[in-house]
Amino acid sequence: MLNDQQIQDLISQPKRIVEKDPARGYRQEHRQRRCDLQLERVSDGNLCFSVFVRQNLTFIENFSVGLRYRTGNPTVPIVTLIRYNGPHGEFSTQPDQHYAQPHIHRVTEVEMSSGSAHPQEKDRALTNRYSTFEECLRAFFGDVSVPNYPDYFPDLVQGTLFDGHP
Amino acid sequence: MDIHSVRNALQNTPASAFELYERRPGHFQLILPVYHEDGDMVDIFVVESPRGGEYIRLCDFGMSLMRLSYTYDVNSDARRRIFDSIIINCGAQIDDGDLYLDTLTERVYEGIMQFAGCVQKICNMRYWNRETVRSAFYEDLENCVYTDFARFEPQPDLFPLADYPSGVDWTLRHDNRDFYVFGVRGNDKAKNVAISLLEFQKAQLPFISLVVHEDIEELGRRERLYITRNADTQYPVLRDFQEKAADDIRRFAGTMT
Repeated sequence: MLNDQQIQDLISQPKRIVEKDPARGYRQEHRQRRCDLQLERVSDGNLCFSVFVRQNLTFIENFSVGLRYRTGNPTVPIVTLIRYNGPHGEFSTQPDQHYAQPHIHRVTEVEMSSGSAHPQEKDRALTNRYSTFEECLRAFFGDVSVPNYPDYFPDLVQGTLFDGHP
Repeated sequence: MDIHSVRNALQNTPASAFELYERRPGHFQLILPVYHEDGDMVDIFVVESPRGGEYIRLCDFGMSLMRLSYTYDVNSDARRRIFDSIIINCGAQIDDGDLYLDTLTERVYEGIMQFAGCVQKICNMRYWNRETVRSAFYEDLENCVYTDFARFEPQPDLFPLADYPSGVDWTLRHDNRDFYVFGVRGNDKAKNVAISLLEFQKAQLPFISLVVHEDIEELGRRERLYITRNADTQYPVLRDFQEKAADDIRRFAGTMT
């Protein structure tokens, strides 16, 4: 099973998007907009990574972008390595306040070795590196080393009129 | 909807510590100690019910389905049956992805517990799929073969090689061509089918293989490689087979020499 260093290596190793569904933009269904990506590892072309992108259409601050990895292990065939979330609301009673702030979930070696067929990304950390869906995507693709994301998300690099302006 | 009545109704129940705050006008988010497996709180909202009167609506604005879709899509008949069963058995309903339950204000605590349970079952649906529908895929495929593909005269359990112990799940026939259909659920079946196909090819049998997966993404990488190397056509889920295979069969028959 993966240890923490291997998990981090998988997250940070260079990848390339090879397929996007839908090919352009997002699909809207069930009160969300979504797209799914297939990625290959740059070093060997292995199609072992996928990304899900989701945003709720009623509460646009509720979004989630995650990196999934096909392990090749039939006991745990696929696992979500890391997931970038927007806040779930504006009010939190949890000690870390994570519910009301952008936060990042990550799977750990403890979860990978727990015996679960579906290890969960229970480790979470607050972040101030993004607050909007678009900022999250830029941070995510930077962190998981996907330099060709602008080819599939051109709007992320065009910017909007008031980007960076107070 | 009178939110004060809702708060009052919660006061004398074990949910007295639950909190409600107005996230959008008329949309009150419930803060309660019920969590998903990853530690995120379940998303439950309280809104006005179209039933009016003393009713309120508990809903999720599509959050549960969105969360489920990170890892699991309800994209097959078997999965939809399980999904519908969960909702029905929980006494909830769904409208364009929005899970909801209408309840009397005075029974809001019971409604919240019932709805939270439904949300968690939905979000953990992949476990139900494994535990309760072990044979549903093969049943669905069999029904499909004998109804949607009846015109191709399906024959079950053909053993094309007398000295080889594995056979073909269904053989379809079109324009004097044989099409071998295999249903694959799990790594063991995938490996067995891959090996069978290799044997049939070595024996130079004239056929086109159509492999129908319950969910190709559930296979291990090695098994997917094995079967992809040996199968002529694969359908990642049953729906793809239902929608495309008839045209594929006619097209393959036309291009075979």
